[in-house]
Amino acid sequence: MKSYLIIIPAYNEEENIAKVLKDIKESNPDVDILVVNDGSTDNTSKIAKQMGVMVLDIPFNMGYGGAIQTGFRFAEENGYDFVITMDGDDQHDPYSVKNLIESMEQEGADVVIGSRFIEGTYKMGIAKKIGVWLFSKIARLYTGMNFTDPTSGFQLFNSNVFSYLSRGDNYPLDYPDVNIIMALHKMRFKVVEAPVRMMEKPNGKSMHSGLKPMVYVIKMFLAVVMVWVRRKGK
Amino acid sequence: MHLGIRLIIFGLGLILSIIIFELVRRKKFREELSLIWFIVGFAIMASSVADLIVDPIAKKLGIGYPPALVFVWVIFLLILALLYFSTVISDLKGKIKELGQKIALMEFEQNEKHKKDGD
Repeated sequence: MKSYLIIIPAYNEEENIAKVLKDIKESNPDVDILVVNDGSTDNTSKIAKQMGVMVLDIPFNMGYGGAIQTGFRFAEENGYDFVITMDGDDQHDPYSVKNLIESMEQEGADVVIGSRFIEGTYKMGIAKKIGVWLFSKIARLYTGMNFTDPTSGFQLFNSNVFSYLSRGDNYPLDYPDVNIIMALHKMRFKVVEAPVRMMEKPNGKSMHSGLKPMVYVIKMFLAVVMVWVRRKGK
Repeated sequence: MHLGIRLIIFGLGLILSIIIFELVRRKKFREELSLIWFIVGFAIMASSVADLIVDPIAKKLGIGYPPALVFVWVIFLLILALLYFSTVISDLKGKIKELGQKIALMEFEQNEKHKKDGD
């Protein structure tokens, strides 16, 4: 039987983490869950441990990408076949996990990105809308494929991909975005999209808030250029 | 330039170089990081006679105020030093990430082992 691991990076998510874990357990009873506590200063780790899931405690706040990569390393060391990444702020509907799995099986993909825009609507600010539009265009230009939601953190990876991303600098410390789609395409991994449901964030601070959108876009442009000019990594 | 001024500039460069040397000797400053500051120290010492070289060059380049050429050169050197330290920070950041990830993974393994031993 194939083994799946859901990785949830969490930074100060004590208000949401219990509900997130409860919903995932109800919707995906056969899947292992790993919370990567990214140096939280609240009770995120304690609550997650009380919920009976595996918890990795990073001793300081490493950033979203660093936390996910820690999860990838865990998955590789423990021989998982597939990894699903979900946010710890209750935005991602765990019942959509099956869409990702079905899509991977049907299309023979290595990576499936959950898109909130294929089915249904999702309200977001103008700055983020522009960012998503811009990065979609960049992804299309580079890969020749349509990615409606390149900023989505709701993704499914097979072991070849998460093993590759778990090494060194193959995964960024801050926010993996369109640059990762491009990097994986460059490594000849098949990346596709599947519809998922995402909710507006009920509590806490979004992982993308606090970052000024302009700085983020400039940083992402630099990352995109670097993917373009770099040689293929190992 | 008066000889006294030349000696003062040379002395300042020498003092800086000696301080750096002492810091390295006492292992308070890593050798590989000190190299860039030794270069700065020697550059200050060399600047005590810099006018002999700089003035004719500035004149050829049409720079009316020759010390301006020295400032440009010094700013360029300092930018290079900053760039070097940025690469060091970048490298350290990568290493800290590796350590943080390893600590998290090892702590988990240790806790799991304790749990099993307790059962």
